[in-house]
Amino acid sequence: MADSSFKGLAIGGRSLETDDAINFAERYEVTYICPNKHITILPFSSEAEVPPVWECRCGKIAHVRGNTPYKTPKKASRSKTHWEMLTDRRSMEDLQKNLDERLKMLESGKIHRGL
Amino acid sequence: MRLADKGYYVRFLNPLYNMLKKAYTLCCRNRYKTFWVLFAIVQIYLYFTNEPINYNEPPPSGDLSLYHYWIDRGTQFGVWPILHEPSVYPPYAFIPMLFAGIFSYQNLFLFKIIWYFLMMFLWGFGLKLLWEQVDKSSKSKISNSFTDIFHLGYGSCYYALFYMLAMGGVFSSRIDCMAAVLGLYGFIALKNSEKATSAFFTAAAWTKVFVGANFTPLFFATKKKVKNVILPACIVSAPILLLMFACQNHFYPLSFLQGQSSRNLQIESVAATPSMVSELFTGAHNIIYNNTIYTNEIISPVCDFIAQILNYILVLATAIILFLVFRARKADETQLILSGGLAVILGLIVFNKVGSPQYFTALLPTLAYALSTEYKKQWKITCILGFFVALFTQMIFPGVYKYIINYDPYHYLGILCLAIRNCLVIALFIVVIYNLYKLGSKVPKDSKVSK
Ligand SMILES: [Zn+2]
Repeated sequence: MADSSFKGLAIGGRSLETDDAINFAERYEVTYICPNKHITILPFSSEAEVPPVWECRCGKIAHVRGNTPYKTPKKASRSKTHWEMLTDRRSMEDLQKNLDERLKMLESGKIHRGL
Repeated sequence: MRLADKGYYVRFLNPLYNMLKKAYTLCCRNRYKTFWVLFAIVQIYLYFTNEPINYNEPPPSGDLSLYHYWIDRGTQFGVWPILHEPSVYPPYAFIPMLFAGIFSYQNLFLFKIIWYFLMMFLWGFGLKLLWEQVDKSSKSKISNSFTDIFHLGYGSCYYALFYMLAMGGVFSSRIDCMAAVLGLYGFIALKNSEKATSAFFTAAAWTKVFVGANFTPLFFATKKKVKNVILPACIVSAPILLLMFACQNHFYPLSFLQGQSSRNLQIESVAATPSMVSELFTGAHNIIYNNTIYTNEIISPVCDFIAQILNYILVLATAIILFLVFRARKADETQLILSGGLAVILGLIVFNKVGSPQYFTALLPTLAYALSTEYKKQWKITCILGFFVALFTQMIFPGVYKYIINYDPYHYLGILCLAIRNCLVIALFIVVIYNLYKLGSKVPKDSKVSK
């Protein structure tokens, strides 16, 4: 019984909140290019002072090559919330019908509140 | 058993020698198959020199990540070189970049692979056409040695392979490769249609200037200048003009020319070599990395002076070379385009403040095609010199380049390579100029004989 309540959740403190309504602070992507022409792209806050040089992975000094607006990264995969799983299986009308039916049964005394 | 025993050689080395000899003859007889096997090997070699395993080594394919960056930035943010900012390359250079960019969306590895395959396909196709052209003109079908292959004209295709091998990765991972193959198509088309040649040379010029220099002798040599040369060139250039009107003030189709004028002497340039060599004795350290154009430059009062006057020398030298081309305008057309074009290209390289390794890609169409013509014997020395220029170019980059810029203990070796290469370039330039001069001198006699 206890096992089933963990279904759909990965172990670890992962929030099931979506970032749909969240506005991130304004930021830029700054491009650095090293003498070996390795390209490093780093996001910086629009308020931050952009450093003119950055150390490349190869150890050389990479120089800044201009900035572009930040592109929102692809949404990282996260586990679905229970509600999302439910809406996957059933349509809203279907759910409404079910709810009405259960409420009627509850009122007529056919079923009792949990516990 | 003693090694000097004659029996040992007879029993062991003789069969080995015979085996190799048989293999050689077999390869020469099946010259077409051998060619394509070698072509595949060369392509594999180019790939692996382009992508060194050690991350700290400068990769010859570095420019490809820049190309990818431009396309990636353009597709995501709509910021394009030429359209929104000055560019170091002419407009048509972005066509193959776009091609590779579209099919590899955002993936650098895929971008590089598509680029290499595109270049392999274009060169493979060009060399196949060249081979077929030689096939049509060659009298004998049998070749038992490489000398036979050379005399029949197939040496042209083989030369292209060996030249690629000599240049290494830099050959295929630069936009110059695209311009060069357009130049090759132009030469191949010369037998049938001057119009096509003009179109190809113009397209090459809008991709990377050097190969397009072949256009100038074509202009002087042809009789129907407007119809056969100017008109096709205008048609090929028209999209750029249309784009310019469409974009009004945000358009920089000629910005690649401006980029040249403000530069210092790049360490590999011919003009920088005396200073580089003298640094060995004075112990001065004047190499500075220029982070706007990603090159290493040598900066000293002398070099500044040379860099300043070099602009004028380049113009003057080009004018003199063009006069020599004009002087020889009545010579055989193919010969004139080969000699004149190569002279202009080499002039642009020798008197240039930049001496990037990929510039030497531009010599290949001329050198290879010359070996398929009836004048191949006169071109032998030029082609051999050209081959060694290519070989030393690879030895410098990616070879000893890192020793030079880091003032490594092998610094001396690097500068020696650089000096030898640039001396070879000057020698090649002198040979080509001499041939062009000769071509102009013997014109009256020849034209009387031929008429
Ligand atoms: Zn790097």
